[in-house]
Amino acid sequence: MNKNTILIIEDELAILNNICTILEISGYTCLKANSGLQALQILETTTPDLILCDVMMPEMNGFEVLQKLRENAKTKTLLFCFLSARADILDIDYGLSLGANGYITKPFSAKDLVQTVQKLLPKNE
Amino acid sequence: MFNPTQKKSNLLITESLDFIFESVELGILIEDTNRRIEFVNPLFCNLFQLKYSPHQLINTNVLDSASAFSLKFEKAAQFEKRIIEYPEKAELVKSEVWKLRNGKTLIRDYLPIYNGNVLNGHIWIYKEQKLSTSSFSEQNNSVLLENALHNIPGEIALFNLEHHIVFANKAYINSHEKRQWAVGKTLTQYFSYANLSLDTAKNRVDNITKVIESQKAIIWEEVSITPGKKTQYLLRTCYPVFNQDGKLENVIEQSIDISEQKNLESKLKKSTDQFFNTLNSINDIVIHTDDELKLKFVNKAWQELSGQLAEQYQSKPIFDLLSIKRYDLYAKVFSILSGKQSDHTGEVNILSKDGKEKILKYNLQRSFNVDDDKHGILATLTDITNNKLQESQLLELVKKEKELNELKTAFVNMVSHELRTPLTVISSSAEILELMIQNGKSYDDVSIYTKQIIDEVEKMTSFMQDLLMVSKIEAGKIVVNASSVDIVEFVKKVIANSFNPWKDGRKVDLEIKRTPVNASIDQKMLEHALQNIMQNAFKYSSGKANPKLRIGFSNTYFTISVFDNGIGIPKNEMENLFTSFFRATNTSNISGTGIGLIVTKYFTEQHKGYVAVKSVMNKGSIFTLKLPYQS
Repeated sequence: MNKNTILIIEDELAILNNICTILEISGYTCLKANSGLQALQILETTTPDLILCDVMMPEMNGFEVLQKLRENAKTKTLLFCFLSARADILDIDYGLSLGANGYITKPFSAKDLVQTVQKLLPKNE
Repeated sequence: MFNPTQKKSNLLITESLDFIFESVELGILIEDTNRRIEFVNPLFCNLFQLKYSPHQLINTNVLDSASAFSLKFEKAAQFEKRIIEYPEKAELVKSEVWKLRNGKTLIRDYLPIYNGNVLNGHIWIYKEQKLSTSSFSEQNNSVLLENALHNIPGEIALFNLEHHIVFANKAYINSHEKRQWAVGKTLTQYFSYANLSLDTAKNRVDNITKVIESQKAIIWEEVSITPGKKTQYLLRTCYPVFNQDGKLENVIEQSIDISEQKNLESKLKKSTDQFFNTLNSINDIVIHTDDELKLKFVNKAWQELSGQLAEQYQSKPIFDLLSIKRYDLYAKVFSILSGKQSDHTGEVNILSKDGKEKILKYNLQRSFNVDDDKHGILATLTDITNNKLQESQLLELVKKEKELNELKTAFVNMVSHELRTPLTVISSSAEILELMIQNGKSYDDVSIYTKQIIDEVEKMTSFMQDLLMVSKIEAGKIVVNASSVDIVEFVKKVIANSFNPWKDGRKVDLEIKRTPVNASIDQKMLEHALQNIMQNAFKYSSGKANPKLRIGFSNTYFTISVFDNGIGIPKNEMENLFTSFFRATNTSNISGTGIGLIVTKYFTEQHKGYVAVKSVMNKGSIFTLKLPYQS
């Protein structure tokens, strides 16, 4: 079983917990942040294999979080995937243009979520 | 016949003749039979403009001089030929006309001189032909004058002071017999004799009398019908004629037929009238000024619009009429007047007679004034108030249409987004439960997920109810169901139900000012109204201090105010705050429907109260519900 670590950034607690539960069932280790600022704090000490991040969050939105990460040499290359209720093609394009590796729109099925995560992460032999 | 060669024998006579010949206004040359010049007078030399004096010519050969003189004539060869021929023939030749090259005309007589039957010499007499009326006799003058008077295409008659006709020309009395008869008669007698209108005669006689009495000229117009049934207009003048002593001697009455002018005048008047009628019947205002920009013409459209008489602006500056105090326009007007600019178009506002502001589109052009050959300004003004109104209505309509479209898009986006979040919770919770069942084990307490599903379904239901509420509000289908309520208890209950604590753990700080009083309210409505502003206070102040709720009681009303330390509302977006589905631009990261405040406002107004808002960007907002105790 792989033991990849995934950081989930989501202000809606129910969604944060559910994603975490689904991914843990699938064998991943999860880190939870309910705001962008909290995520940045976690990333100071930890390097996850993948970040799943909501877009619409107060104070610092998902786009801003990604921009911060891409500006920092230490976090520049981290795998990053948006997970948002903003399903407009313009939002998706914008998110990808900032350097996101994926964009999942809400609502999503557990199967789709896990498959996307598997695709994004490098194969663990 | 006089023989000049005898001067030696009779010196006295000869000298006398010389004197006479030198004094007459004739150029005289006398030669002998050998063609030698015997005598020539100074006028001869003058006529030919010779540089020689008479003395120098005497004893020279005529033929030598003739060839030199001939060059002064237009027909030089013929002149020279005759000089040779005439003395050979020795016959009288009178009044020959010779034109000089300098434009003068000479009349020449040739006469041979005989002493008995013997040819003794030749005389040439030249005189200059002058066109002079003095050559006519007085007899000729009077005939000429009479002929001229008869041929003038106007009536002329001369009367003595007894009103008797002294003279009448052909135009006055056409037939020779009648004319002959009329001389010495009065006009009345003649008119009666010729079977003409006695009224006309009387009028003319009256005017002759007036001239005799006043000794001053009179001018009048006489209208008559010709035998060809045409109206004839005569301009008649009657004036006194005085003798050399200044005494009145006669009266002349004359007329000119001005029918043609009258016809043209009448046509011109008709055409001018038609032109002005046209100008006055159009809806556009037409103004014409002189070169000093003073009004020469304003059509009726001006009066109809402004209610002011055009006459009161006659000769006043155009700017008085238009009440324009715009110096940029003054410059344009002068630039057009000077021809630097061909025309200028713009808009001007004018107060109409019913006190309404009218918008007029004007066009200024340089015009040409026939009266004084100078340029003026021709201004045309069209009332475009209605066009403008329609234009603005159309623009308003387009704007509303655009807003409606934007609103529709915003609404669809909002609904889509607001449903996605609860759906995500529901679907993920359900899938976790499914996984638990499949794997036959529980990762967590099952009730966490079932509660999440139930909560989110409740949220969705509440959202749907809000949407329906807006629809009901907009249709005006909500009825107030009021009862007396303890306001403090009511507010505390609302806080306890939903906000103590809020999902981030914060609570509401409650403050009560002055003595609480019961009020008559619809609890459901007011709970909804309060919930919405409370939710906003928490939502838009994430990470900040607790929101504060203050209840105030005054004599006639009570207030419920919610204070937050949140993101605030942009100043220029305050006016849209109570528009359906509107959300401020600084809320894009915070989910919301754009419905809450509409509901709050409507419910408050149903209680005859109102919502007041104060907000400072990045500092916070205060929403106050101000309500009467009895609605």
